[in-house]
Amino acid sequence: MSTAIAQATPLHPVQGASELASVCARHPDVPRLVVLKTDVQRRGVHYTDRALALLDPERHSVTGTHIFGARDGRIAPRPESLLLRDGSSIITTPTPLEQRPYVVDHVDGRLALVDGGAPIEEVEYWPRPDYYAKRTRSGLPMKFVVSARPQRLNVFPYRHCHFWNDGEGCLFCDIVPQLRKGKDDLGIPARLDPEDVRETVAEALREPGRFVGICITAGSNTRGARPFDAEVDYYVEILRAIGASFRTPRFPSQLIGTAFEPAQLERLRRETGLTSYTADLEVLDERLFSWICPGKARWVGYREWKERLVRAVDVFGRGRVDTGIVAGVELARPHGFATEEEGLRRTLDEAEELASRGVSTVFIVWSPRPGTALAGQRNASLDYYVALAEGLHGLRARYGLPIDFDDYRHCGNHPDTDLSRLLRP
Amino acid sequence: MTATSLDPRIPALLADAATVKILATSDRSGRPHATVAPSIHLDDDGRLVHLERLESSGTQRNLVASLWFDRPVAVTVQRGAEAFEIVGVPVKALVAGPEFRRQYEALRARAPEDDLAAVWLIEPREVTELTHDVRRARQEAERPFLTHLDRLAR
Ligand code: SF4
Repeated sequence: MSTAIAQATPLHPVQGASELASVCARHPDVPRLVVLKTDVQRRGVHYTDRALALLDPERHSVTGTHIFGARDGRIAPRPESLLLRDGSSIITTPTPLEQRPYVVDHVDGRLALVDGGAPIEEVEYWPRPDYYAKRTRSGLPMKFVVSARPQRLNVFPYRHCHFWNDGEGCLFCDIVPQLRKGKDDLGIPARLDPEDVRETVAEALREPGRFVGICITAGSNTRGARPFDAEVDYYVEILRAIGASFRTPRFPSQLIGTAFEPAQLERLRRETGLTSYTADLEVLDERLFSWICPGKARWVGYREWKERLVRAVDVFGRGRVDTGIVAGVELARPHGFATEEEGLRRTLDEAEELASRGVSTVFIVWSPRPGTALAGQRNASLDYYVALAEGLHGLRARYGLPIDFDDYRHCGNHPDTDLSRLLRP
Repeated sequence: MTATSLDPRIPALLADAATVKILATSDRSGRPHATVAPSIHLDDDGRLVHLERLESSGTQRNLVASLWFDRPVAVTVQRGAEAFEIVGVPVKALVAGPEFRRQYEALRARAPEDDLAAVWLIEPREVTELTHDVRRARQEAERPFLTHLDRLAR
């Protein structure tokens, strides 16, 4: 969809096919593959019929749990996402052609990313894990219980977010509209039974060499004696169900949850095998946080959210706590920063304060989706995202913060953490 | 140089367990790193295959840097006096999928404690024979000024 909404002033305005080349030239320390991946996340993809003819549900991962929507607003079986030659993933969704996405096509016997009519990089569909063919004893297809990236298992046990109850969902988020679609179209329950999760994870781990980590995330649940106690209770149940499959008390895992109080974090650490913790601030500016994340702002608040992240480092350790941002929303109209230059500076300043206290910041590229309050807007320039990736990576290098738990294997959705592959420990 | 133009002795050398294989890489700043890499072999497309067992190793880091910034690596293979250097470029890291799984299972069958970070595919670009007798004969024939005179004296 073309949009008449004004945008923040870009760092270096360049358009078209030359954009990739000029951004690569401006950032010689960022590999072309990472720049390309970032641009594909930014612009989305369109699969040609020839490319879709190569999709084999017996061999490839086809879209599964749909916790968040696609940019074209459809729920349909399509490739889950793409693998690059360097083993990293591009997590992206089908995007209407009029928004100028990259095209995925079948070229000379291979699957390729095509831009401006020219093939520019070979890609592969994600391989399907063995367990996708199975069902739990309760009859649920396992692919709807736990979804798989090339090297990680994703558990989305609770598909509702209570911030939406009061109309305070994050402005870029479509979890609740997706929940309705998922329930109607796919029969996925809003809340998973821990036993289904236990069975599915046990089955997934039977596949040799496939997975290196498990990520658990869900919508926020404000209920409980203390706010979010109900969310913690449920995570404890789910994590214990997952932990039943491991012979070690701890297992490589990441919980992306609300910013919990220290006692809640201690409990997660004490009662489960969880090894890392993420609480997403989404945007690193107090004023914009209040606008973009009204539920988080009212129930926790920006400053308290940051403090809880810092206190989480005491519980999980340095290099095991981070916060995610949806990069580009800080430039959204009408209240976002007026220029990309300001957005970058302010974001990196805040990220540095967090890094100095042991908390990493990682970003995903904002993809404005229909069904969100910011639908119809555009995300930032490629140059902005690449500069942000370099900046966040540089902070981790400067403050000696490892990011193994959220790297290209354990997530794959953060261009900034891809760069850590070259860091000496 | 494409794989089909590899010296015909190389596939046999790579297939022989008695052959010593050294993989030399460098980081972005040029810091060199060499490691004995017994897993190196040829695939059906004539690419060198290296099994990197540690995600945190210097070799893994340097192979990523090579793939990202199109920098060559060198593989030296030697059995007895016979030796070659193959200069190539890492073109792909397999981390999941049927071939990765096949290699992972085979590796774990040989070494149950081991892990596999990536299966690296390295495209050969240039091959040089390093067999010492061959190189000495070539030097003596082509560059006569490089020889000590006493070796030529009556
Ligand atoms: S906290 Fe915000 S981003 Fe997360 S599920 Fe709720 S509305 Fe969506």
